[in-house]
Amino acid sequence: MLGHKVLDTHAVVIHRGVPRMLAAACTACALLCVPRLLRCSRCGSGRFTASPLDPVGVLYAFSEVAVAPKGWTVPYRVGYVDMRAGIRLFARLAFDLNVARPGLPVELQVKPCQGQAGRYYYQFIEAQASDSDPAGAQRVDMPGAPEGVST
Amino acid sequence: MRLGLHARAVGISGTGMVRFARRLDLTVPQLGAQAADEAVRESGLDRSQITSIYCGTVFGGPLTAQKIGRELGLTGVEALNVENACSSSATAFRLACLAVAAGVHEHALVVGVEKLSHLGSGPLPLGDEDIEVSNGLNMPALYAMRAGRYMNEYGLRPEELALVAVKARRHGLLNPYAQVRAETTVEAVLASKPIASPLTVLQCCPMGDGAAALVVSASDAKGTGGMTTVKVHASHLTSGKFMADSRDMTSPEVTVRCAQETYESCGIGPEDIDVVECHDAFTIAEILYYEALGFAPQGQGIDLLKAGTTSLGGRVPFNPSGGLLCRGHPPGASGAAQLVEVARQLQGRCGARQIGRDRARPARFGLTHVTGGGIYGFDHAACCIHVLGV
Repeated sequence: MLGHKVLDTHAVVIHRGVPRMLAAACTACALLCVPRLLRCSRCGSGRFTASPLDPVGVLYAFSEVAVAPKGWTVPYRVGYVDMRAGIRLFARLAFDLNVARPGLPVELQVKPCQGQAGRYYYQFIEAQASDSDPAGAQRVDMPGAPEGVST
Repeated sequence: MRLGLHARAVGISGTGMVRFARRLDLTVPQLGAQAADEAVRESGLDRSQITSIYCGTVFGGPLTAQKIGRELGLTGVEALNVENACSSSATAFRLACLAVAAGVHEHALVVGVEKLSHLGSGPLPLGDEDIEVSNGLNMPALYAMRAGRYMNEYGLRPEELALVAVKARRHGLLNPYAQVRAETTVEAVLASKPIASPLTVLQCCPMGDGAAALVVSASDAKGTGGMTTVKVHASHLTSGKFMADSRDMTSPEVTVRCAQETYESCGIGPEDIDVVECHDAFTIAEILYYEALGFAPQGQGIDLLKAGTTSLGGRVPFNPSGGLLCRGHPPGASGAAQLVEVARQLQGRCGARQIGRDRARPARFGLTHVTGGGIYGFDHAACCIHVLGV
């Protein structure tokens, strides 16, 4: 899908039948990052746990983009969202900007790519009536930096 | 970095620049060599006295410094190629200053060069490995979101934002090196082609080609030409701090921090600065940088513009060259071009766009500011600030 960040299977978990993006949670200080870095930017730890990202957030900034690389469909809408989980995420917006405003409650939606098995794309939609609760999805330790490797 | 206390004083002994435009007739090294040749001639030095070349370019290809040296007959010297996105040639200038200040070289040639005309039109390619770029972020969109957030927080109106472009065009008209040399109006700016809301095409820097060059010399070195030497009072380079969580997009932390550290290093502050060339790649950028560089409180930058403070004839003109909005923004060339502009302003050589004509005292200090790159997690990846003086 031109112009969309595509997530592979290992970056997504199916929680209560709904795809959720996996973030990396530092095992030492719990800081989240997407995508996972080699070392935690806050404490330097190299160990992370894959953590289903709480999809709820509020819109921080947005724009409708009218020029893009060849082959992309324009215009498209993008925005930064401050997630309830504590990170800021950039993604496409799947709603018109006439309803957009800083502070608008939104929800991260992860959807399968058409014709690409096991691959997903993500975008923000206006928040649904009920919050999503990713608790209960299986957590998986993520390989981190080898011990003793200097940064 | 403080220059002059613990190291030799450093100055600019020669400058060169080509007109920024679409230059389909010249290769990158040929374009750079034209600017470099002017700088060397202006310095009055024999080429044998120049023992290093520092070249900043982003898309110019490998070994551009050496290729430029080949054009000039300046080979077998220390040559270094620098890529730091839009801060490339300002970074190259800093490295040259450090080498001369440390006594490694007496004279160093700095060149910034870039050709974007072969890339066609549209936003610069930023590489698709970045998680945000691959999902639709480009530089106009990034600045557009900053503009939208700023307008929401501080009540800036679209027509006020357009005033930045109107001022830039007024200055650019007077600059023979500028790519865009035609005035405009608020109405025309707002009615121009949408790029990323709320930014329109006349609020964005044009694609083009350009080159600028300087000769950096030890202030006590012999053999320089008769031009008034411009001293380098401060040189500071930093990278952005990675932040995965919420941050204030209306106050670019890398510029705020770089400016504070620069002022502390030289004891020269905004109140002392007579002219600024800042990174006005998009209209909102100039407003943000009035504030981030310490010339206006946050949220009040537009007041400087509306009062004429930052226009030619004002207390501290910003971008008397027309800035990136009018001179153009070939990334590798912009840093050096800003330095050339400020140096020539301080030397009183800028003709119709000369600052300080109606002042009691001539201009003494100028500041150049350029940022580099939009990558995930950073306000900008790099920021490079210099303070020059006479």
